Amino acid sequence: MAPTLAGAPPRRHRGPAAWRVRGPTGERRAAATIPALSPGGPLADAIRLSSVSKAFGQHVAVRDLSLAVRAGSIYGFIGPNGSGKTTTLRMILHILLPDTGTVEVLGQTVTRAASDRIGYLPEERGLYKKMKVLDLLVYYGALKGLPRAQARQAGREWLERLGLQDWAERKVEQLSKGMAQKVQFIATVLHAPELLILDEPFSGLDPVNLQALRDAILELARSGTTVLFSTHDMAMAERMCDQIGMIFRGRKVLDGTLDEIQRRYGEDSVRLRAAGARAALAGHPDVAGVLDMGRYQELRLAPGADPQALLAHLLTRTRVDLFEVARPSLHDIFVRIAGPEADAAARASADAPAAEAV
Amino acid sequence: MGKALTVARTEYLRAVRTKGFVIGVILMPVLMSGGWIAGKISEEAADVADRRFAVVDRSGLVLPELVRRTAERDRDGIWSRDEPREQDQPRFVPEEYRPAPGEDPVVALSDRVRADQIFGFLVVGADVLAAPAPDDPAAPPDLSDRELSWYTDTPTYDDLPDWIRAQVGDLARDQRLAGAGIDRGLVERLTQGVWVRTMGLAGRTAGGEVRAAQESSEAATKALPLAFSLLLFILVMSTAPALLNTVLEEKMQKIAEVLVATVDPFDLLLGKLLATTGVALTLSVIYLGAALAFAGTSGVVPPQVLAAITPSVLAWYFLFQVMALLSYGAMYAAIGAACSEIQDAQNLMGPLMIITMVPLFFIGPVLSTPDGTLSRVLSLVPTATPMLMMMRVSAPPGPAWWELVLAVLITGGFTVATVWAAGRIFRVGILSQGQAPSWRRLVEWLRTR
Repeated sequence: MAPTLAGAPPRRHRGPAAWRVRGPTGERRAAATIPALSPGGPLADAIRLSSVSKAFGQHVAVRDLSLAVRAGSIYGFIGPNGSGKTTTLRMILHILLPDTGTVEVLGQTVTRAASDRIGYLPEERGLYKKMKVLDLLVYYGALKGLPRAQARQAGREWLERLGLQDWAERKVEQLSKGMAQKVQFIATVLHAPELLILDEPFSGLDPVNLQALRDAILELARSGTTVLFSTHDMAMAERMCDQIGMIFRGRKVLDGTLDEIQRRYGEDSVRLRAAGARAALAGHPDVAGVLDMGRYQELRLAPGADPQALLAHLLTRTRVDLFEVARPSLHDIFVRIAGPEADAAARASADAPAAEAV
Repeated sequence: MGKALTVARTEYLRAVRTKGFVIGVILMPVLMSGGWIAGKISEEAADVADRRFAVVDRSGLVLPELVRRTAERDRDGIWSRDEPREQDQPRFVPEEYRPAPGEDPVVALSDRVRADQIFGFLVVGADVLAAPAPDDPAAPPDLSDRELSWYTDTPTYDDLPDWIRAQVGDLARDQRLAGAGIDRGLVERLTQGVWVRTMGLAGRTAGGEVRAAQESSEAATKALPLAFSLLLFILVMSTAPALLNTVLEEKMQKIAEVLVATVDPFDLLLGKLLATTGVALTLSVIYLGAALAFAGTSGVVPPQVLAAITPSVLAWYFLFQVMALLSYGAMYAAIGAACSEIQDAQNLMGPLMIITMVPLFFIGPVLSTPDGTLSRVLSLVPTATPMLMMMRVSAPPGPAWWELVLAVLITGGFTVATVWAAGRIFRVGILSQGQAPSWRRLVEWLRTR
């Protein structure tokens, strides 16, 4: 039986997607159902990075990074702070140019040729505080090539959809943080981009606003928009993403579907909920590490350890409410790659090849 | 370019629709005429309290004349010219002081000044009215008897001692001329100065008729060039540095990243420059329009001034203003983009402010000799051309045609180079964070890919 995370909603399965493309004159039109996306086919990849490197002085922010984001997919981009995520996103947006390698976005390698077809939500929100909300949306829409009347109409519709219709004529400085974040999101999607790049879209949002934003993103994805988002919320990445990539110290260390990534690590984890579990496990040779997830602990088994023997050991010492042999969570994989121990090892062998690439 | 225009349109409307803009439109003429207003206020609020002063008259001749002349002044010299006539000058009230035997009058009267009983006191030398004897190197004269000494603890107030000096000097001339048997009226006629009337040049009409030379107007030949030049300077100073603040603000509030993800940084810079230029041109149209309307209807402006404001002068004004705003605006915007803190921006801004203000220091020399070598050279220095060449354009005789062509070529090239360089710095700087940039680093950014 495939292991599942208790309480987690089922993952979204993407069937053949209703696909929107731009016609020869740039108009949006509904296209036929997409056949299976084949690598190398037209627009099979919305983003393709080939051997991209970028350095700032002596500091190499991104090193020989190759990455492909399938068109119409949701791609989660994870990595610790300072690992090169934002630099990579800026190269995809052509805000920065790579020192070496090529960046292809929506079939374009020419600088900024695709920028009007992209929506970008930066990690740190930037809105003109003195502007009225709707005026600001019209301005951002116009910069993306929308006629002003159309931008105004689309702005009103999005504001209504996200419950901000009464704030259209208010100044941005009057908005709460959550409202401002939603306005920033609207500014990002107002022009119906084909590619949505979101840098930490959910940080600082309360559960209600988070849900509203997540639903909006999923709906855009269902309608064919490619979504690339960076996040530190591993559970969110697990739930939303078709594909996940991780970058660490400028190098790609993970890339694939969650299933592929977890399969790589095998079923070497146990989710355990038991009274006094830490004391009961102290010094046990079969346990290589314990990750406290709050309501349960995630144990990493030592190579060759027998989970049944571990269960038997625990039952002699305490009451066990949950004992599930599973693949490691994305959170655990992240910590294994970028935790303090791994980070120290990576620093020690700074010149060594990348840790692991899937 | 389309996006640059979108940025320009939005930023222009954001600027001119604010209350600050409307207040600024009204405030600037108020500030520019601040000296005149302050003068009027000080006139209205003039201190007209009596200035009592004691006189120790060792000549015995000065005090009676001062009393007579103060009476004349009280009648004619302390009232405003406008109706209703109001006292706008204080009365000067002399009083005699005779020191007691053995008393030092200076000490006694100083105490009275400190006690606010009198404003000051005058000690008149015994021979102050006498004609000085020819210099004898063997026996230098004792000047103390020929002097007036004015004692006061308010030495900054000049009106009273100036008035006394004028009156006693006049009295001394009368006495000395009379003593020599010379008629004073004759002396004044014989020593009267010669007036110079400054004229323009005569010319010929298209039909060959002689056009007589017109009397030159200082308002047209000096005040007007100065006004054009200062207006241009003030508008550059009030709009271009503001670009630094807006760019820095966008950077600090992380708006810049959203914008450069959509707009090429050069287009963004260009849009901002166009908006700033638009704002300054709007102000120019408002001020020049109001000034022309006033000049044309009020009747107080000499006709030579109106005649000097030709369409070509106005065209040069707008051309030089556009070039000044684009070049200076680009430099200020680049500094705004390069910095992350206001403090850093202020440090970099210092040298730029000096460059902006340097032409101001040469206004006097250029105005007095507009076709001199210094003026010709300075007006071709691109950072100074807008102000100084504008001054030369509106001050006769005006620059030669080739100077204008050269100025446009040099300043135009400089403007393009500045905008290009600022665009390079802007592109790198707008997303840079952290340590303050040095001038050296800015140069490195110019070369960054």
